[in-house]
Amino acid sequence: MRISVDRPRCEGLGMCESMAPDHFEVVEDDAGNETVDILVPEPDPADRDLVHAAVQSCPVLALTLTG
Amino acid sequence: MAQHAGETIANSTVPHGSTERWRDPKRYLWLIGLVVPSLAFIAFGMYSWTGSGLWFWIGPVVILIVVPAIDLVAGLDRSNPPDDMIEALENDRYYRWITYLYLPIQYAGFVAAAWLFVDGDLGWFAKIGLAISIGCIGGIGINTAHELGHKKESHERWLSKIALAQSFYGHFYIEHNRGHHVRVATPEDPASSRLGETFYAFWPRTVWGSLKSAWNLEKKRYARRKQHPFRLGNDVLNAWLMSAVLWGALIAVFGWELIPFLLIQAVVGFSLLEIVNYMEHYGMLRQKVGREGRRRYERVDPSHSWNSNNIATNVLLYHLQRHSDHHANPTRRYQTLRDFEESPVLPTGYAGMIVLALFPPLWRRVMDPRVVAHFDGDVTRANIHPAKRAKVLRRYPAPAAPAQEPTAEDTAVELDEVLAARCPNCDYVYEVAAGDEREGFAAGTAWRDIPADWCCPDCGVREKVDFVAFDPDRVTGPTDAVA
Repeated sequence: MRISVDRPRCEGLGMCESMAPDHFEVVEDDAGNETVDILVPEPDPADRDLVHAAVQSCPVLALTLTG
Repeated sequence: MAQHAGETIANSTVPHGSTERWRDPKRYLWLIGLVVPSLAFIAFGMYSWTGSGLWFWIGPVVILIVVPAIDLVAGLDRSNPPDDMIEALENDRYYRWITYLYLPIQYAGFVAAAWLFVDGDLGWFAKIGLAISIGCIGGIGINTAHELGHKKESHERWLSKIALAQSFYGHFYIEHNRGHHVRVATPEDPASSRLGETFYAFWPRTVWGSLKSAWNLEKKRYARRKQHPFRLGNDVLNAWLMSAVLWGALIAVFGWELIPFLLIQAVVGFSLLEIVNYMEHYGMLRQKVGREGRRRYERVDPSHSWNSNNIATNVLLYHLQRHSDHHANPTRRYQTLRDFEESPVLPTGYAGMIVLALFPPLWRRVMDPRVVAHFDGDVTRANIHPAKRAKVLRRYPAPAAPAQEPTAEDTAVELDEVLAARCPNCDYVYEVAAGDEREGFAAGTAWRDIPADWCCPDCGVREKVDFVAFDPDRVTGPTDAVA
């Protein structure tokens, strides 16, 4: 199971972080734009439901969960 | 995908056990939702049959009188689809076609009403009723747009914008998904109403705030690419353009006399949406959590939205009243939204609550005690309208003595002996011994001498009354240093 992010789509809105703060964190990139930092790219299968819900909640569809 | 029972259904009322041969009891009831756009044609038909212009008032009569009455009689429906049926139910295209069908009926009625308004030889009373009724249909159409706008399929997102074009409210689609859903039940959200805030105070705040929010979201999206926002790809601009073309074409065909009709129906339409927004999160507040220096709002949970299981409004609004599940799972389709036992519940359906919201004293009497009860009697945990804060706190004093041993942060200290107070938003600390020269408070300025309307100098969000008093000598820990 792997979380990936479509970087140009991500707007750093923070929905994923509010759902699963241990897996996602909104940070500033080099250009000073807010974007998501995936803290745990390969999450524990026990967290699947939580991570799935966070990925689903992305308002701009920037997140995907594979595997 | 394998079923992951447990976590996602732990709080639902989904019955356990066999689900074989389960059939959706509401499958055909959802068709009743199409009665709303059809009201225009019922009005046209009854007018030509009876000659009475009263029929053009059908929209407000149905929403404010008929549906609330049916809600009171028809009662509740708390049934949830069984877990192992959700995926099949979600993928059943029948349900989405019902939402798509709303649009052609909505627009046929809209155009026919425009013609009737200008060429129908109606009196002014009938004309106003007609514009208001079409506005009601457009307003419920915003709810259809809401359902469509949350979906991943791009054609559904386009249909959402088309549904919004009639009411000139296309920016809602941006603000709702990327603004409201992120900030829901926080003081920063223009679309979450606050305890003590009347609908009439909420209306300008949400209408203007949502517009600003939508524009800023799109501006920021382009700024990331170092582009200016004035381009067709800007979803706020292209949605407004769609409305401008639609309205322009109708004015070109029917003439300038149509303008009052367009304006009345748009204001009624988006006001209907906003009055529903008003009740969805009234007084709800997500608390701040997380480590120092990285405070964030707790995740949205079922306790942050008002729900209702009144079946009549639920069928007409595509389960919008199962609002907690909607916020927990925004892309979930209406037919699979579930009731959560721990969600706060309104005394009647949204339709009936609209009537209450129009009369603020009535609304306060019914809703304020429910908000306070929801927070176990501690009104300070609610999202309180700043202008009414003192009044609300007087009316609902915080519980005298907490049952458990209070933590340092929760300790209520008598006003006279406040030695330090912390902003609950940003953790700025005002200490009496140190004062705050930037703010013009000399060292030793007592907390009671700080003006009541003084705002936190660091975050500018919270006022004096929000500050949490504490005893600086009793608090240990490296992060409690004086700001």
